[in-house]
Amino acid sequence: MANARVIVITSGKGGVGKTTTTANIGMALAALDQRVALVDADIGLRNLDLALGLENRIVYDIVDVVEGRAEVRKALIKDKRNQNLAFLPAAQTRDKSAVSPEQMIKVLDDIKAEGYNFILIDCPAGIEQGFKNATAGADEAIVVTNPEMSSVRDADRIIGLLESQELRGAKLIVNRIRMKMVEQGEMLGVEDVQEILGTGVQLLGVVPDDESIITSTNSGEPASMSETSRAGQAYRNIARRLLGEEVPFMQLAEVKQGGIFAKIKKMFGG
Amino acid sequence: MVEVKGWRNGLLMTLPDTLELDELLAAIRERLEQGRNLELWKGSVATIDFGARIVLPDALDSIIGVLKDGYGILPTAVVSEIPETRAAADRLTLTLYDVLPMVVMPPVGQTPEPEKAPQIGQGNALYIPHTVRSGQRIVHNGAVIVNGDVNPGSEVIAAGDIVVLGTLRGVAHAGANGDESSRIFARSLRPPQLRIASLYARAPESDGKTAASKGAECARVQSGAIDINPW
Repeated sequence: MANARVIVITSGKGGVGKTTTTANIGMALAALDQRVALVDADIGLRNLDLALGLENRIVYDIVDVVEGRAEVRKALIKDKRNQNLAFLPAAQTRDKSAVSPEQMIKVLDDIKAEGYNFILIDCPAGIEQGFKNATAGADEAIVVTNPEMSSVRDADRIIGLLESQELRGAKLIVNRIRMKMVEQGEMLGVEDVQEILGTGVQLLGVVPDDESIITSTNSGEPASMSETSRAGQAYRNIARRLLGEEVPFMQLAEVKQGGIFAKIKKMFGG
Repeated sequence: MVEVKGWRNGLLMTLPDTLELDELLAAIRERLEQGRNLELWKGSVATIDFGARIVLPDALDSIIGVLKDGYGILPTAVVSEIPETRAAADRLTLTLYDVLPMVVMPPVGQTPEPEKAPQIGQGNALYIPHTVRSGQRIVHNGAVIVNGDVNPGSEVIAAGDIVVLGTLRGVAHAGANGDESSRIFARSLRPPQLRIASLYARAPESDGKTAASKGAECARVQSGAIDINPW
């Protein structure tokens, strides 16, 4: 099946949660019976393996595939927790120039030939060679931003660059939002972010700032595997939206403990 | 030098009154063929300003012949105070002006030369049909119209006016070649900095949160400073 959806996950700015987002959406899609391949395009600064907890299983990486030392099928690491999920690691000992956009497209074609429904590409920060490689073969883009000005400005820049290479209709994830701070006027809200980026950029999801993300990244268990993680729930919702389902946005306002009202909110919240 | 401008009644051609007829015809041809698709002249009507030239009927016929047959330009009026010239024009029932009756628009069909740059900016607007995003830079030797927002981290630099149909949050520089009559319009004007010609204005220090929208505004130079008023 050669018609996999190839989605690049990008942000411009570093540290906003691209890798975490890639791991979580990948895991959530796999849990929805999609065959998903994750590609770490951050050559030289490999991280996705950690978020997935697959570090110790890396034998071949994307540069080995490009340089002909391994076939894509051999290099793809199957996740033991969910056989639907596979992962192509970046090389840690090389840099972005080790892969060209043409080679990237070739690798993606090889992965498509393996019959995956989704290929998610974890894009490196920045707008240079690594960005060009990661976006070269993508036909959809997810832009991750944090609710703060520098991140939003970089996201805007990325959307402009994507548009200029005909990758239109980028979808937006606002990551690490703290509703309490938004309510107190100390943090940009989702509406503020959307106002700057424009209504042409569709909101795909809002992920609350959640300590469980830190522990899950360290332990290599994406939060979307956890039933109790609020961020995990948000990622599962995003996966369902990617499959075309209309999922209401989570009720993110802080709820007071114990009240009947809060319980009702929680019931509808998820 | 043969000058061609646009005015309310089509083209206005100002012909030098020093050249011999042959040289004049050659100069007309040269001017009309300079950097322009010849098709675009077709069907234009023209007013000819002869200055102090004495134009006899034969000469007028050959000038009109070149314009009509060569380029499809139809002369309809003549500007001249010289009796012989007026008589020749009157014979062809052309409209007669003693002096040019009004201010004209900037030259057409000719890319302005750099030293003349400040005079342009009204006739040739650049239309941007989308939002200008961070990192993008629009530079245009004329007015710029943005049908969208101008986002933080972007720049719009225009020799003429800047019109933003959405929100202006990037840097805008109107009249970049020194034209202080240039203005900046935006449906919501919230830039960190505005520049008109060599003047600039900074946004008042804020707490970093977006201010409440006040509606469309226009920035212009008034008594040596940039002034912002409701539009």
